[in-house]
Amino acid sequence: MNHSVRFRDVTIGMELDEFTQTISQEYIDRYAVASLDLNPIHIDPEWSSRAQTFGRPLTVLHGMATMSLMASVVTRTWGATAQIARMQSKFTKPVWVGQTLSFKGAVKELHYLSPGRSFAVLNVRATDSDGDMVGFCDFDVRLPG
Amino acid sequence: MKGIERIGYLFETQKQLGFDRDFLSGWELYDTWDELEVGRTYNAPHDYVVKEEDLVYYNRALGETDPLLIDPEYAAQHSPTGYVMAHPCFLVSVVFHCLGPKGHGTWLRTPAARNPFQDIELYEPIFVGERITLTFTAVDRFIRRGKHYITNLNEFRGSADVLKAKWLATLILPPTREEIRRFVTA
Repeated sequence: MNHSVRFRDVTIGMELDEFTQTISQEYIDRYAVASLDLNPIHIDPEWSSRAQTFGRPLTVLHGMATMSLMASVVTRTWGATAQIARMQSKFTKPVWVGQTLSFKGAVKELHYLSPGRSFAVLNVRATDSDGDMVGFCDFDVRLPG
Repeated sequence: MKGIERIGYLFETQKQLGFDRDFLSGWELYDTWDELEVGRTYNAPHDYVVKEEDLVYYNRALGETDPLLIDPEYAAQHSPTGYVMAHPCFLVSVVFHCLGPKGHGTWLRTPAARNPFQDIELYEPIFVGERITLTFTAVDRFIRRGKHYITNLNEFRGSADVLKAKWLATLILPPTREEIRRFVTA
């Protein structure tokens, strides 16, 4: 974790720390309670097996949990105080219970503005156990000098 | 056992314990895609007073281990705010708390809703102790490749009406109440 990263030290292509997260039903349940998104598609295996909203009889992880974990790539690498100013995400495949997600990211753009306003754009991608991308997110992160 | 009963043991914080949990009940009164009025702004019925337990629970649920995110004693000494810090995506719990189970914005609770993409701008950090208010406006509803989308602009304001964040939230919804019924009664 680097709490003191500065704009001048960041380069295009610089990679962020990778991590994985196994998505158990308990993990989904805890995120559901944390977010207050208690949709049965996440927390009700019996209902999900009947409704098959995403074409499989399984619960799915919240898209916002995937997005949160993608944001965590930034905060786990550059610290919880990293100033994320914007997050733009897209979700490309459902995350069914039992998957293990892998997260990796890199610096995509550098925007040279006035001191304290300069920012980097980081692209973070999430892939599932099959190697398929389940989502990606661009983060605008303001950095000191 | 219904999912909501199965996970009852996980509810800890004051907001969680007081939250109307069953998204499968009351769906008859939810907003639906085909009835939604675009362009009208509403005030959410509830405010969100940020407590440290709210932030800690969210961060722990994600699996965070940074003491600035999960340890109030450490944060009291080392955090710029004196409290644990909010995760960048913490606003999702603010939205669900503020909207509640009835009235405008309830399409968010629709069973079988799907999340295609999101766009969040953060202007000010979230602090423990502040009161956040939410206004929301449906800014678009559209059909793309046979799916029915709604985009909602959520605006979050803190003390002195300071704009803290904007969130263009998009969901794919069952288009009609009859379609929702089909999922609910699956």
